[in-house]
Amino acid sequence: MFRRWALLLLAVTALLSVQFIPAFAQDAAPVPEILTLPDEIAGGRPVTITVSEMPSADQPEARATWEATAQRFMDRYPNVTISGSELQYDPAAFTALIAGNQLPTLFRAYFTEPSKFIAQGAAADLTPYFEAAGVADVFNPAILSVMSQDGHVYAIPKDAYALGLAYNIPMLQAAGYDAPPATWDELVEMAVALTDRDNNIAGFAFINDGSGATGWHFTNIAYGFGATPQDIIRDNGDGTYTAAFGEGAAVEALEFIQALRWEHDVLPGATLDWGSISEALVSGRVAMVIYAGDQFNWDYTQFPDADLTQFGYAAAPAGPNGRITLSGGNLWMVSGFATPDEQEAAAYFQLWRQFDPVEMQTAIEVTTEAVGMPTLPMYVGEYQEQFAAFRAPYNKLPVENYAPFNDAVTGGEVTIQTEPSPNVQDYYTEMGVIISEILSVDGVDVPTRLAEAAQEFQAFVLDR
Amino acid sequence: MNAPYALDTEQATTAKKHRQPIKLSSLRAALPRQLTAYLFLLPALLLFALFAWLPILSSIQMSFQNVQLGGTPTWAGLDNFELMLRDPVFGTAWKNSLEFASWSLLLGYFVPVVIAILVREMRHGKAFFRIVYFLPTVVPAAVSVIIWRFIYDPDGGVLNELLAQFGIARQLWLQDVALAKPALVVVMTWAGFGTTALIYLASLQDVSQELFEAAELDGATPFQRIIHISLPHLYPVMSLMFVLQVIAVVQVFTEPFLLTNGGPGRETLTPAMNIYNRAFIRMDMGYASAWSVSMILVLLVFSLIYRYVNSKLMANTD
Repeated sequence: MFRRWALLLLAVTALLSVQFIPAFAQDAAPVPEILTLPDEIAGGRPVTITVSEMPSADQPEARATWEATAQRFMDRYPNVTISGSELQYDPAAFTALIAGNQLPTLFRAYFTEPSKFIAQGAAADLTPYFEAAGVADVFNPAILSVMSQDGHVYAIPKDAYALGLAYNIPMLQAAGYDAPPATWDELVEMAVALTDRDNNIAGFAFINDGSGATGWHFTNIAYGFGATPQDIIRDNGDGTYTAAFGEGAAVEALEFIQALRWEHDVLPGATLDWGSISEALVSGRVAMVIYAGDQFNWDYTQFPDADLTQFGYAAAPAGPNGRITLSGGNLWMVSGFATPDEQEAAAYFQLWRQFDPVEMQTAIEVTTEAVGMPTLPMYVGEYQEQFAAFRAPYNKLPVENYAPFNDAVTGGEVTIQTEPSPNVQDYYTEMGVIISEILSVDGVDVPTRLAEAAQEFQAFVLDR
Repeated sequence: MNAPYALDTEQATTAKKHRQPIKLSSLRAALPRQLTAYLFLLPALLLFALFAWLPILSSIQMSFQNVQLGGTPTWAGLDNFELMLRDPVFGTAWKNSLEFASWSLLLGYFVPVVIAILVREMRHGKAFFRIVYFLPTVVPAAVSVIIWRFIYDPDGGVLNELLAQFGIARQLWLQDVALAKPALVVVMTWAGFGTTALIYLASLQDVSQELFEAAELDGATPFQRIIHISLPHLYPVMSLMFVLQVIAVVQVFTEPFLLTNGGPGRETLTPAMNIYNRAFIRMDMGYASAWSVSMILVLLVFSLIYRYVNSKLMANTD
């Protein structure tokens, strides 16, 4: 009896060892395993899918990795053919793709987009695949709700972030600060001390190019001042919506920005977009910036010579209701215009490359991207713990510098709020214009101007 | 306005004879002879129809509809136009267009004329300068925008650093309401003057060298040669280029889109940019089409002026 048990134990141990050899070889926690895949996709019928975000030819290593991944899936399911597309998500370009029925079968988009795609029938219902693959319960329900409608899930979350504050540690130390600002008032005081016009250094910056990204960063400040998504665009509960950002915390936040520009003069003169704000931070032209945690990946990949240990990341400063911040992220959608066979192949391809233990192991070993970004936990429970433990040994970023953010988020100190809805990109664009005006014209009457903008938004967007 | 080479009245009369109305019967008789020519034209006509005329017609149709991408358009009558006239952006964008046109005429209109005349007057290195002045034209707009971003950067940009040498305070070139438009017009002029200068230069090549030599023998200074020979010769082309420049500026999109995003505020927002925003950011295709129709109407007026000026010019040339 003992020998039979011993043999069984040995066999199980051997099996586990084979499974986890790569993991143990890296001195890492085991790769979490949860995925259930079908033996056959699309009933074995030939099916071809197009997948966006294939790395471009000027990144040969990343491209080869991507193609090898696709090939492994095609080897596993010989009836599936994967055709890569270098197309990156862009709301304007995808509008034309929807109109022309040219959507890739599987494509990345933002957390803000599902409702738009669902309304146009451009996003496939992925609920059956979530359930069959056994991943329905591992995702953070708050994240999954962003891409769900009437109990159906229309996208697979890729990553999630909360906006926070990135800062240049040596600059802060040189000015006598050993910690990032805890409140917005403190931020102003520190920004004044950090601004050095003679050397073209601004104490504080947010995306200020007047685009939708400016509205996105502004909304984070408005949340900090106590606004909720309902205070931006109010759902009347009868299918109609009211532009509510013409009053309350949004006005206070905009007046705050006006003071940063005209009273304290701590903002950069140059217009900074998503990419150039990173460049400004990394090159020491700004001391503190509103930042999404996943943007450290951009720093890591685009500025390989930059010393990223100089930069810290904290949760957004506290306003009257504490630390409140805006969250967002990326997800994968499957085209609603694709055939059922194509939808099935696309959904399983994404679930497989996201959850298959061998794929996870391979991906993290060969990735040229940053690991260790201060983002939001994507999963819940035991799976999240295993997932975090598995990735930890591969960290490429100075994660200890992000403790102020990670500790605040995991410690429940930060209230995470989703983006306003619907028409959020339109609202961001509208706010981008207003902020650009506030920053360039002294003495704008903020309450009046914002009320006008809200009326305009109501007439030209929400009531259309 | 008359160019010296257009004084041959006999030729002008012959040209008028040529413009007699063409009879249908002679057209029918000529068709078999010209069939090959029409066949050669066919691919270009089809491409034009597909990529220019059809979208224009669709856009006019959509301007009277509510268009949901992926859905069926519904008839909206004049709603889109009524909304457009109520839109505060309508006045702002067209006012900006007008200001852009004024600035471009003020800052950019004479640059190619001066360059062409100077190159024409050069004794040596003519070919070299022709290439040098044309070079910015071959730089892609996206690249030139990056270069100009460095030049205009308020924090340590080339222009501000240069001005600082003379004790002039830093300027927010693209963020200042007063400076943004002329700053963009400088970029447009830089990118476009090479082609226009070549057109003027080609026109100047038509002037008989003997005329310049005779003037020189009569003791005319270079300045007098320019005033009495080069400039009068260029007037007809200049009037044509004037209209073409206005037409081009009314449609301006790339520079404000890439450099200022229409800002500060809506200071550099143009009708073309707004059409793009409404169509592809807000996905309000019907409304964007109403704007497009308004733009078609404006461009139509300028095109008619262009045709009038052109026909005058051709008459003079004949």
